[in-house]
Amino acid sequence: MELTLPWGGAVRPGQPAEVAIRLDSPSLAALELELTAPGVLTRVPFDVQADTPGVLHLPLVMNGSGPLRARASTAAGVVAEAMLVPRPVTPVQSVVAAAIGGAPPDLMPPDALWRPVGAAGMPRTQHGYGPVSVLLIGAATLAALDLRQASALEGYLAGCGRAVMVGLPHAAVAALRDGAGCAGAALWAGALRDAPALLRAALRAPPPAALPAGDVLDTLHAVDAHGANARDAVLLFLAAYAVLALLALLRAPRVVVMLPVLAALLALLVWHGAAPDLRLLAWSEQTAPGSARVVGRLQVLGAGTGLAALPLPDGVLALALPPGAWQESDAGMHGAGAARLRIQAHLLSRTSVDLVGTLTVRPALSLTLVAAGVQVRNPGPDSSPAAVLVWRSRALSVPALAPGARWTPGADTAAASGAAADLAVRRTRPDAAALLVRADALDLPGLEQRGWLLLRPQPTARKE
Amino acid sequence: MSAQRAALLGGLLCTAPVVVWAAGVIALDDGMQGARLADGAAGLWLAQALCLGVLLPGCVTLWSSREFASGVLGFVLFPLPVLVLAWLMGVLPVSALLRGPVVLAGGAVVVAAAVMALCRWLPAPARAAAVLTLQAGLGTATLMWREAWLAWTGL
Repeated sequence: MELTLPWGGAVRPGQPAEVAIRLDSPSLAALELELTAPGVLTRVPFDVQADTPGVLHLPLVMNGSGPLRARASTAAGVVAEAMLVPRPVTPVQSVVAAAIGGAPPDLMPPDALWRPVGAAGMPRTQHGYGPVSVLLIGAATLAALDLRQASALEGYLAGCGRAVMVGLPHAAVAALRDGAGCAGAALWAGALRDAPALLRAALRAPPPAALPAGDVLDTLHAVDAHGANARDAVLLFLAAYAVLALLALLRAPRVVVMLPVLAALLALLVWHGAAPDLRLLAWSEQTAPGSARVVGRLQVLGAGTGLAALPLPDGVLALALPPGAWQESDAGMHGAGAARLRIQAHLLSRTSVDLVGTLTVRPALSLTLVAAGVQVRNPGPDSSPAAVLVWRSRALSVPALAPGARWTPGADTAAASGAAADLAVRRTRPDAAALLVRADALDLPGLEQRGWLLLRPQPTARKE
Repeated sequence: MSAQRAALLGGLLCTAPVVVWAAGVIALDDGMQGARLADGAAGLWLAQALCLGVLLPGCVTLWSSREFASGVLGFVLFPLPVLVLAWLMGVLPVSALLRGPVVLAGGAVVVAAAVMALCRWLPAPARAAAVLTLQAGLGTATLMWREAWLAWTGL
């Protein structure tokens, strides 16, 4: 078994990465792979073919410089172990991922880490681009990417990842720019000889703004009644037991053994196996017409000893996992596979897990800049829900719009209030506009969720 | 006082302060409640062990063996609902729910056997002094070696 990280092992603490696990086995084997690192525990069941090396690509978030360990086991025990020490990159250090094959060293900007990679070493998931500041990719490498690698690259570009394309025909650049986030503003293209200048321009350009942290999302949450109710139930139980014990002391001491046993059984009956209450707060920001970066905070409120299971949408990854939580993946040997998050909950426990990713979105409203200012339109066949327009550093209430209806703010437009509207104002430049709509971008079943999507008018594409 | 009534009274006196303190910890909800409640469980067993070590030697001869058995069982089981809650909260391992009462009950049986032996082999005038010495010794030993015997409970 062998572990490798793309980009020469470079990882950014707290940012997604992708690990490749290569397995060789002389015989057919059904294995259980366990991948551990600080804040990471991933379990993947898979079958290995005899004498056919299999490579598994798993996204994960490295939360420090601790080693990454993998252990493959069968029912009989551990059959293989491997370890890899990543090379953390500081937040201010730029990583240039050079996929141009035999790049001349004079392309290298002096203050950036140069990480050459061939087509085979390109990530299979968009999370593999986590450590990358700028991707430099040539036509030959682009043509050699397989479907998963191409899809991962599309996801990277849709999330406003900075990229320099060299030696590509104009039509190919235009097609890539159409699908790229930020209207292609983070994509530079030219000839190989222009690469140093393009790289410098790309490195000077600001990276995509970081999404709000999980604790900021907590401020959007309504008053939490669940925790208080569960706490009160426990305290009430203890008070009732004390009263019964006092009564027994005064009136019926013979129940001295029966009373605690029955009370313990009652506690087990009420609280053992109770499913935890799952709540998800998600904040997403549109980067491309059909794509948005999303950050979510999952709250697991324990109602007893129970295991919370949550399917994770493709493209979404859990950040640091708390103790008692792990991620399961059906990745198999070649497919992306479904992932599930499992969290052990206890009575009165309160666990938070932050999720991050890029997702496909279909917003109910669109925002366009017009001569008079901004215009909100409902392009869909259904009436839209009410929304909030951020315009000139103010939050304005947008009424529900009929299908095809348009709306522009006027002097008498009511101001919008609330924590989400305030956050949207804070995340929008004073000279820019944005539209905040309610949207469950993660769309996960079986839990209470509250989500917002921040739409921005797409900037004009940069001309070459 | 009957053994059952003494067990209920002793159980209440040992458990109530810990439960009141634990209720405060739960209401405080500062994220550190797990570690604090584990300390609370240790404190509860320590209080029970001190009760058994200091008070039991003086009571053994007052009760029949049947009364003694039900009293000791009721006393060590009294905090069981609280301990079950602690297990449901992930504070205690499930083994501690069994091992804690077993360690305490085992200790009570050993103390009772020691008292019975003293009463059998010592002349009447020396018995009281011997029991007092045993009580003091057991109380001191319970406190001095608390980490060792608490480890037997699985904490």
